[in-house]
Amino acid sequence: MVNPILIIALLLLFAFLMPLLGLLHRRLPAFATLILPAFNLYVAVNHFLKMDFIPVVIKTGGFRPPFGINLAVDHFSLFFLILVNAIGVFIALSYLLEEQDYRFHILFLLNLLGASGIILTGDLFNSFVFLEILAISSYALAGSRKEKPALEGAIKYLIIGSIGASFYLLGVFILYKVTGTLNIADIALKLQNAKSGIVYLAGMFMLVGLFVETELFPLNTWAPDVYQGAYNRIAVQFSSLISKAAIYLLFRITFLIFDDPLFYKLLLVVGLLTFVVAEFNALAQKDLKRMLGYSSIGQMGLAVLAFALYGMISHPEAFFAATLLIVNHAIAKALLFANMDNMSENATIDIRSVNPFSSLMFAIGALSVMGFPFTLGFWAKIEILGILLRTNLLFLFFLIILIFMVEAFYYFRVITNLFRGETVCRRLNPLLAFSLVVFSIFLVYQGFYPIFTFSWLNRALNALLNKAIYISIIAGGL
Amino acid sequence: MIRKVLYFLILIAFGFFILSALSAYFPFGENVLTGVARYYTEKGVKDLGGINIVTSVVTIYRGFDTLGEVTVLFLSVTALAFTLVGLKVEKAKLPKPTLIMETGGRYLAPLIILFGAYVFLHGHLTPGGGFPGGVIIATSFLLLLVTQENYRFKKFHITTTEVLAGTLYVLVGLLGLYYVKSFLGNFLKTGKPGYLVSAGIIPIIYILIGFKVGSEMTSALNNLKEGGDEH
Amino acid sequence: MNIESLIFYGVPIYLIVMGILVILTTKNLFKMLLGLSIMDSGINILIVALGYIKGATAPIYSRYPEVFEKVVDPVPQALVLTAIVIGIAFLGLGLALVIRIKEKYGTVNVEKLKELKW
Repeated sequence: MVNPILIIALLLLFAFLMPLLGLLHRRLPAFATLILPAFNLYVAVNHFLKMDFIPVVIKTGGFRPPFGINLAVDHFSLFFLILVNAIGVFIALSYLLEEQDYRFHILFLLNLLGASGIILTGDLFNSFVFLEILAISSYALAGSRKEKPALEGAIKYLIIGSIGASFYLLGVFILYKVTGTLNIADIALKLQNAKSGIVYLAGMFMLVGLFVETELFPLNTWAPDVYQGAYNRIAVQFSSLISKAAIYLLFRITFLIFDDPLFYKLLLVVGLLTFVVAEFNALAQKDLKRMLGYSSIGQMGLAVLAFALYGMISHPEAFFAATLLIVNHAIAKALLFANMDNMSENATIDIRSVNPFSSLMFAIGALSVMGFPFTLGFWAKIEILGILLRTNLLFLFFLIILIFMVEAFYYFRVITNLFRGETVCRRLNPLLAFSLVVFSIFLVYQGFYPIFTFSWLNRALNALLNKAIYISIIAGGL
Repeated sequence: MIRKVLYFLILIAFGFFILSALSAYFPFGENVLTGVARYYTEKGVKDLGGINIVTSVVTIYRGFDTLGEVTVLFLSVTALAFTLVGLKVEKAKLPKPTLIMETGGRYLAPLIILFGAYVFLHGHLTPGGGFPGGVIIATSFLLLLVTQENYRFKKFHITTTEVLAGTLYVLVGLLGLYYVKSFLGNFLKTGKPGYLVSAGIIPIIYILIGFKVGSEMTSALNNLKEGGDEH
Repeated sequence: MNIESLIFYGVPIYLIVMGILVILTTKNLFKMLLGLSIMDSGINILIVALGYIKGATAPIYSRYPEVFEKVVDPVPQALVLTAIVIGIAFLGLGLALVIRIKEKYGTVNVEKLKELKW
């Protein structure tokens, strides 16, 4: 089996070589950008299917952890790696074969590198470095459309993001001071029993950094601007790639290191606030992309909410619901944002002249996000509601049902406009259309028969929950 | 105005809170080396041959981070060039250099480059290393840009240096993977500590970083001065 | 809390606080980037200060093979090396974006950037 470090090494190699590739032949950069996520996907799927249920440690620098940095490969990381690189292939296939500027390809590849690095790493400071790679490439991508709205969103994002990053760094360093090591498993081992107050402070600092990237309240004010202003393919990247890698990091670190009721309560509150505020904001939007952006933020809040329920019930179903929601959202939002290419510029919710194909794509994506039966989203939302009922959190149960209805309302508002509008047949980009069809078929097929997704998800979650094995295999010990 | 005072007070309180927390848990100067730091300081020279422990940590023990850092710099410079492409810029109105500036700059620049090269070559022996060395070299080019009238870079040369240095860095890592089964592992002899030719692949990595950082910062400065262009 | 902690931690923390204050109160985008830079410096200094050991020297064994001098923790220094570079990276990109904004809007005053409503 291919060594997963090659995922990172090859992304780097090609990113560095890109200027030269750009000079050799105009089409070469685009070709590389398509090949690399596909290769990563192959490696990730291969490992997912063939690997044993023991995390694999890949050392770097020649020294075993905790003296050297290591990659920690288990089914949970592989699952997210598959998701992220699948979205990467989606974007590369649909959009990037046309892109001539080699710099854009560098930014895209390095964004993918940041995401894959965060998912693969087993070292806390290494996660900071890859988080920064992800963040900086996102700032550049957000501002890639050099028009007013995009630039405004990008600079807002940059300023909030750098403050968050600095706090994340400080939090990481405080953890180092307390435990003497930077390895995630080792820190988890050392902090297993008592957590002194300073660890909570470090955790808060790290959460500040992570909340920016995962678009959680109150550090997500940049997100609607970026979603509205940037190119559609960038919006796809934000909703389905960048935020998903960041939320992986949030889940991993919280579960392994800050496994504490106080943290879960905080995440519950933040997730709930994000979800409620974002969905009501979405309701009030006139611009279609901005509405979709607020919907993305809301879904992230809901995922964090579901994840935090673990703190209340200690049952893996909470993680199952959260991760299923993440998968559904990544695919459905990619579908929705990519589809915006087929709609007019500055589309509002009163969209009139439409293309029947894109109306259908929008409808499927929207139905999946709102959790309509026979789409993948249905299973995710049912799971969350089920947990809330079982744990007797009735206030939350009714509140969340209310918000689901709000969601359904604003999505159906657009769908009905779409199907009432005058049909216009536009020329579509065939590759984009192909990718859209693939994703929509996946959503509907899994809606009817979700066994495939469920079994993969369970495999991933078993790996995550087996905290003891993760720690004992990786923390080589001093 | 009231808002500013309010922010100030809240932030001061916040700062004070952090100050007391940190001084309570980590009083200044009262540390004992524990954990990985102890291993690095005790075994670092024996493992790798470099007498500058910080360098050993940066390039080998945590070499993966340094590779990430080089990537971040590359990313930032590329993003800068990308964002400034096609900018309608009035050429930076620098004052015309005087005779003293022009002559002085011409003599000083090679010396600065020499110093920068010294810094990154001796990274494993003295403080410094690839990053400061590269920045020093970029400074000398900045000096030339500012003091020499009509000084232009051949963008192609800078880009080639950048690409070559970065690619070689990844290749060194892959060689480590091939020879010692570990990406960025040391596969050369560690030699006698304290000598210029020692410490395995550490000097090689720092040389590559020196070139990369130097060419990148120069290209960034050039972009900021002249605005971006297609290639 | 002894007087040394107060000085050596207090100064970088003050820098961090001032940096954040600048970002929150100024209306000029360029000054916000400067505040960011100040905050970054503060954090880097704080990290190095947290790694200090009284009476110890830099972790460079210039008198090899006499090895066991007391040395400070090399890890924070390595971390700060990386953090400084990352800070520059932010600034570089931030500057490029601000230059673009100046071109499009004609100003770097934040109040004028209200193209996108809430």
